Amino acid sequence: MKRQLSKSQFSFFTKELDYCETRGLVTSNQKQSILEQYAEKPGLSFIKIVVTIGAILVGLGVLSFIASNWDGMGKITKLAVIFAAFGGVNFAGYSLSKNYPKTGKSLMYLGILVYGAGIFLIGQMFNFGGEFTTAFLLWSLGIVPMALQQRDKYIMLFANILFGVYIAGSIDRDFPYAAFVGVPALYLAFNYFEKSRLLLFFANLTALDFIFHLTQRYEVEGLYTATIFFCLGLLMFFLKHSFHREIFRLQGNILFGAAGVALTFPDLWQILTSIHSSQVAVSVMFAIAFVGLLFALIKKGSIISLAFVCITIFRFYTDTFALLPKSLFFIVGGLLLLGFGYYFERMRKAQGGMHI
Amino acid sequence: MNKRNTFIIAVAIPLLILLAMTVKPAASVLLGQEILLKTVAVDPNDLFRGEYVALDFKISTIRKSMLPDSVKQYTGKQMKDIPLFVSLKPEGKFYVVDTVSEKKPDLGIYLKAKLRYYDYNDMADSVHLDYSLDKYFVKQGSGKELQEQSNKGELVGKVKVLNGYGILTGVEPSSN
Repeated sequence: MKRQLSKSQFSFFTKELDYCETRGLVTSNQKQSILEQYAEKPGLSFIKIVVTIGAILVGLGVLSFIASNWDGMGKITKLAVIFAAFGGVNFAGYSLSKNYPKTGKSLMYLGILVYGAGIFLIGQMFNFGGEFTTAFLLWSLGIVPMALQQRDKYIMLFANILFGVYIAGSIDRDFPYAAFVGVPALYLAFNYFEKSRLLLFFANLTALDFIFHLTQRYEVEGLYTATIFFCLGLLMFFLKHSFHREIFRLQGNILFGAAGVALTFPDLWQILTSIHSSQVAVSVMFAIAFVGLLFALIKKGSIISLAFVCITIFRFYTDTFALLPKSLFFIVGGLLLLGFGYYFERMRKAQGGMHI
Repeated sequence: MNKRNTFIIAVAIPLLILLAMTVKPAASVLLGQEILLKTVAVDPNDLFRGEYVALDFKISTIRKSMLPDSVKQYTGKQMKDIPLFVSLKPEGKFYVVDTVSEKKPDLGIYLKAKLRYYDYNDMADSVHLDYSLDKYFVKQGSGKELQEQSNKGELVGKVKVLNGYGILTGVEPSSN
């Protein structure tokens, strides 16, 4: 089986091999046999994009039609129309899938939105109270069979997102017990759908969503919640493994970055000390260590860490109106960074332009 | 199993979920006993279900002392997961709270509820119960009309109840 490369990667690789050929490092035959080991991944199809967007637009129209609660049609009639539309688009999708696979698939996507409209219609018909988060659970569960049958990672992704909305919406409502089964199932789905990185990314996100829900449910103090997520983020970022580590590193970096910014707020530390000046001192000490860690990661090429340094600076800039001390703090901080920058640039030059 | 059959199953499952969703509420509407409850109303919007009248029933607020002792043992948000059974009794044309229990009553009209607000500092004597009857969906644009009616006098919520499961079937202005 050929190794798959994206269009841009393939084009870059071909150009580099051409360059090697002109330098006499590889022969034309060798270049050809190397290139034969690789294949371009199929890119996004224009037709697929057009029909999918078309299906989404129609689906959103159906959802809005239900939400309008138009009284020109009885509710039972509306439900019958939803059932018929759901059956109809799926039947048409299946029939077309052999000769027109893209249109067929988009009709199945439309069916998924029509099914969602059916759930909300029933909620409206019977005036279900509360936030109706169960709707998202049922929507998610109902489309999983289609995702499995079609082996369509995008339907599974949508099911994952709906499941995440169900967990997030359950905060302060009924406990989302389904998450105990649902979250592990998302990781199984990742395996089933050819280890799609997109599915792993969202499965991790939903798992974090559930952990956050648990901290809220058991009324874990803000400081401990932020610390838990900070440590989780660090674990995700630094733990060495071969299981799509780049996804864990990306999410870990964002997670400990966001939790770290939260921990720079003095109010969060009030459960450790009631004295405000002590809270400020602890939070500033944390902020210095946190920014230090971010700089160490920037040095290793982490752009996300750079974004969190900017967010932390902005957070402190807007924190106080004591302008003179703030001015001094920022000037001294800025000069230190300029000094560091100069030092690194000198190092880089000394190492012959090696990337730092 | 061939592809055609698995596809039929994948289409049938959502349809079954939709049908199953209607069983309990439809049974309440068709077979349940109708009761009247006093309400207060406003008209917000839901992204997927549209405009509705938000209702707060008088039976939703009860004295803390009415809660069973077993419920008071729980703390924090765990308290919100405990199902409660609120027995109702007629008082004039409306139904009001009679007793609150953790056990399903054998007789009479009762509604299943969850605790939504509890003052842990004992500052207030009342707690808030949720019966999932707090939304009445209306045609877009007609919620304000209902709001004006509610400003003139209290609204009444019509609820069908079957085995503790309530379905809000209508709201109308109170005649007194």
